[in-house]
Amino acid sequence: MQGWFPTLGRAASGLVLAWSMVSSAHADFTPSFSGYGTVGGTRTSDDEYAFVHDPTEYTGATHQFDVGLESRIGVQAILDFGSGFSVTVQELARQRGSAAFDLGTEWAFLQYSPDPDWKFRLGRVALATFLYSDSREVGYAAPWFRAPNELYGSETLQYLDGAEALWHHNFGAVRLGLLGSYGSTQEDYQVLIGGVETASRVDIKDASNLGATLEFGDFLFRVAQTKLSVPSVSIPLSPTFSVTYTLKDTFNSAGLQFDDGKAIVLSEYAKRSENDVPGVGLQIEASREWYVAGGWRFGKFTPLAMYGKFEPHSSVLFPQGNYGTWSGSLRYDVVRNVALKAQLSRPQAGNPTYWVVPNPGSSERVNVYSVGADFVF
Amino acid sequence: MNKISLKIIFAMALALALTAQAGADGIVVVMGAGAAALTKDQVADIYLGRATNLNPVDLPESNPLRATFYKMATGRDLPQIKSVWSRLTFTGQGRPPKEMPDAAAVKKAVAADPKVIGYIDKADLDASVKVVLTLD
Repeated sequence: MQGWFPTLGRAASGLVLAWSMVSSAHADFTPSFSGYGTVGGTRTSDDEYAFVHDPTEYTGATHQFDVGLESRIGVQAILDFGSGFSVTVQELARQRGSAAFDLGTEWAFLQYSPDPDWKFRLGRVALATFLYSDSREVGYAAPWFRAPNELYGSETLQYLDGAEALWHHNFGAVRLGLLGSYGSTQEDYQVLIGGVETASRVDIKDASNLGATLEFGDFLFRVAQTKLSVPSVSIPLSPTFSVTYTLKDTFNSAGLQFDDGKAIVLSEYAKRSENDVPGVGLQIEASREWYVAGGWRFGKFTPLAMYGKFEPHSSVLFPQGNYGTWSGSLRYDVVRNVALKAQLSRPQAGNPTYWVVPNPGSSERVNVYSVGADFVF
Repeated sequence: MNKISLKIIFAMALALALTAQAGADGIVVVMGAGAAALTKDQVADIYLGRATNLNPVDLPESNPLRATFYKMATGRDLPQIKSVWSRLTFTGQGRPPKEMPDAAAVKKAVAADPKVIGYIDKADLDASVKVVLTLD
């Protein structure tokens, strides 16, 4: 299974390429292309702390204005075959791990949609753990420059190689949605073990995601549960002895969105829990995290204030903590399809979701300055 | 030319500009014959991708009626509409309304398919389509 789905993804991209070459000859199907991107950069007020979005980024932004961390470009192609069948491929170039700029397949799936309510997908599908997880890279679609690290930095997986079913239905003024997905995935992390940065790849064999949304006018409520299972995790307990077990990781989350065209209110809450490492009595990682954000549109300008909280429980990776972060962002819709943004965040130095190497327990505040342009085409 | 006539010319130009922007007679949301009336909230849901039972069509971005329609029906400016649809597009939840070149094409598409919904200037209204909502 592991090798089959990526192959499908490559085959699908090849298909798109082939199709774009022959489409002029056959006008029966309608391929459509669209894209998104961000050009921007980040720096911090303290050279000792390197800012990252999540632990998959190896090098962070410090005193030097870092462009690689924020800049990205994505292209999506949809091939409609008629009778409800279509293929969607999304390629994204961005900094991955230590590579400066690397192309990756975010999605590549075959979809069957028998009616407007149902969508069945097979291939590489989005893993929508939180409200903005599946559109996290599409800056233009978000009011902020950067989604709150408290949630979006704690769960880094963006896709599953497997299957997904989506259902939406309008009951009068209420729209209900249900989604379920299952598959496998992998991610390269940078973790701090005993004060040493260590690169590690994690293979997630069984990953499932269940979500439900309720929309009423300008309100949207969402609950979701993401379960990950990582077999054969080896934890060294001493130089000569390590314990091997199957790690079970669960995210339970709830989100609220209100946007009436003028006011924006966003809030999400998530709880991460794991099974204990055998013989240690501790989880590798466990936490509670939430944020609230509120903004108002003044014509082309949208200021937004955010407050996020990350509370790690005592675990193998982090000591017990309680870290709050204030952020302010400004969106300026400068021309058609382009939004300029600036954001200032003031996380504490001890907050593990913001830094390559946090200073556990430290409540010293470090400024993170970001500016950029989000665009769609 | 004295100050007063300049003022009059300016006022006339302003009035003309405002009239052109709003559409002389208002905007009508249209569907095929036999369609039931819709509320403004229902039309907003359709054009914001929150209801998928109908297929909305758009006028080009260069047509000022488009911005006026979205402002009146959804209370949103075009960049906000673009933002809403980019989220739906890049999460695979939906695709933006199909763009029609002009009112005649909108009427043709609406008359041909009972699932298609469009909007036109009231002045372009004829018997081929049915008004489901008037915005003025």
